[in-house]
Amino acid sequence: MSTERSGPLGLSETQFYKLKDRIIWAFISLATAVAVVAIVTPPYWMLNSSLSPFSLLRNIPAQWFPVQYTFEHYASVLFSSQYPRFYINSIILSLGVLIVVTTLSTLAGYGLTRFDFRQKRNFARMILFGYMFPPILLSIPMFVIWKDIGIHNTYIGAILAISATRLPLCIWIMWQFFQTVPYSLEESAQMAGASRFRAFYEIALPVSKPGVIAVATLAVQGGWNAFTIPKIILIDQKLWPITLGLQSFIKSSTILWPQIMAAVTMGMVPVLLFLYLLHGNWETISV
Amino acid sequence: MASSTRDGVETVASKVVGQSRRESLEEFLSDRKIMAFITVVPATLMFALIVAAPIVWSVVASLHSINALSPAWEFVGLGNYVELIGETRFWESFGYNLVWAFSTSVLNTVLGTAVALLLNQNFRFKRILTPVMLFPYLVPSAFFGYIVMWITTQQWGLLNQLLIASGLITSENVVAWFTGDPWTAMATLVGVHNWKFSIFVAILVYAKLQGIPDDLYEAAIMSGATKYQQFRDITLPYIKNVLFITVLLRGLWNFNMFDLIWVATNGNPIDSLITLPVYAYKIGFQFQELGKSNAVATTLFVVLSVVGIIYFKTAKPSQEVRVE
Repeated sequence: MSTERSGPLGLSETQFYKLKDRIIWAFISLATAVAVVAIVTPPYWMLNSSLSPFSLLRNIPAQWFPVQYTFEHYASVLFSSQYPRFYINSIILSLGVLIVVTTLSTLAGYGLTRFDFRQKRNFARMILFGYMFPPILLSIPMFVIWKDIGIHNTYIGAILAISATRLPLCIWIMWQFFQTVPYSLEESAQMAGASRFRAFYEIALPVSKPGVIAVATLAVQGGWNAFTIPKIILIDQKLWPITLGLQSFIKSSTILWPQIMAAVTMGMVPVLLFLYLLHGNWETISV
Repeated sequence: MASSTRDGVETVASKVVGQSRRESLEEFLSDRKIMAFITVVPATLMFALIVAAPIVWSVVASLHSINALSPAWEFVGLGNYVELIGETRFWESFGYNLVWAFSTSVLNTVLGTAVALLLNQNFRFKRILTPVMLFPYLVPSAFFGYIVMWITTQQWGLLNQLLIASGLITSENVVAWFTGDPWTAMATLVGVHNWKFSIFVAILVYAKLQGIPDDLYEAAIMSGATKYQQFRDITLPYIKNVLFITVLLRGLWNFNMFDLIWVATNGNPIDSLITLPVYAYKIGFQFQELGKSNAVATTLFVVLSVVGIIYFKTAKPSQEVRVE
């Protein structure tokens, strides 16, 4: 077996396969590069536009790479617009959704795993069906109901409404998650004399921390992302989150592009935090 | 994990021995029925209030004529629906909406799967590139909408600038992405939509790909299977279900998309982008006809239910929970 067999293209078989591997490798690298460029370009352009002096933005051909930086747009957004107010509103809405969704979904996930109910399968179907509901479908009738009970145009109303878009997903995640937590741990605590409730919050809860973190992140992210629901529920501009507030940079005569891009850039900061918190467990959130 | 849990058990045990009569409340909470009640009922009630009630309300409200500015409801029966069915605008929106939902979800799934397959390769810098490639999924649609709006600006937008730089167009005849031809507007938004929503598919498919046991591929390589054969006979069967689910879910959500369309077109979408959700918003909150707006919402709900039934009949997702 000392002589090598000959492969196609006049190469030996080993050479041929090496070449083939190289070609595949080159194709994968190229595709990856294209995907990365496509993904990075919009945020790059956002950052570039927010930092360039206004005069350079109107250059033709465009200034692909920054030659001159300025922070004036950030300053004008922070100190002479309502943006800080919008930012605080976004934080309030996100924290509200965090509390509602994390508490309810963690409790429900535990209860649904540990206790027997009739109609459990149908309950699961109902949750998954709820997961499919888009915000626009919920918010139009919600506006009518919320108005009747007097919570439209309030933080509470918006928080409850936004929670609706995240609650089903998060209940589902916690339900799945607690199924991976063996009951025997809690049982041994109970054998040692702990009450069932204590076993839940001192054993089951700490063990399910990764699930809780994923759910909490998704809840906050839901609050941060919300556009359709606050757009319909919140009329008063003082209550608007960033997603709505950006509209205030569109004046009747002109659109303040660099300011909008600076505002969006600052709004992206928490998004990076969500990315950090979720990047290790994409499996958890892919329902 | 295991040792810390054991410590936990011991701490609990020691605490309990010391304070066995500490809280009768805790005892009360620990009753099997009570605990089942307090864990599941709040979520169920909330679920009923914020998910189920709006649907019922939507159906009821759609049978009334409601002016957003006055509290009076006037019963009109199926009047709103009759009115809608008679409108060309409604059917046009429906048609455009179907084209939009179909093209976006197919493209999302194809591109998303491609990204997932790339992420599943072993390349250098993977630890850095994975979060970069999954990042768009977490970007708020509204933020992305403003970026899209800026990039598609006629005079100084990045898209036109790139086309000019590559010599495809001249600066005299720049493309009007969202304000000219209706199909151009649709195609533009379908294209940029993928930046964020393909990644949703990528995340689901990527998670599934990582669950495929390595020895399957090893065995395939041993028996001389080509890359293509490996994909066809191992990868594809594994991700077939998740692909079906993503087409369905993305189709449904894209069908009901409002935020990106609204923001990217500056609240003034041309006809081809007035899909049913946008139409419902315009009727309800610009023309103040909430009853009719709810009739459109109910129509959307019917579409949702049809997709939901297909989903439950074919994918059987509820089998994933253990029911003893």
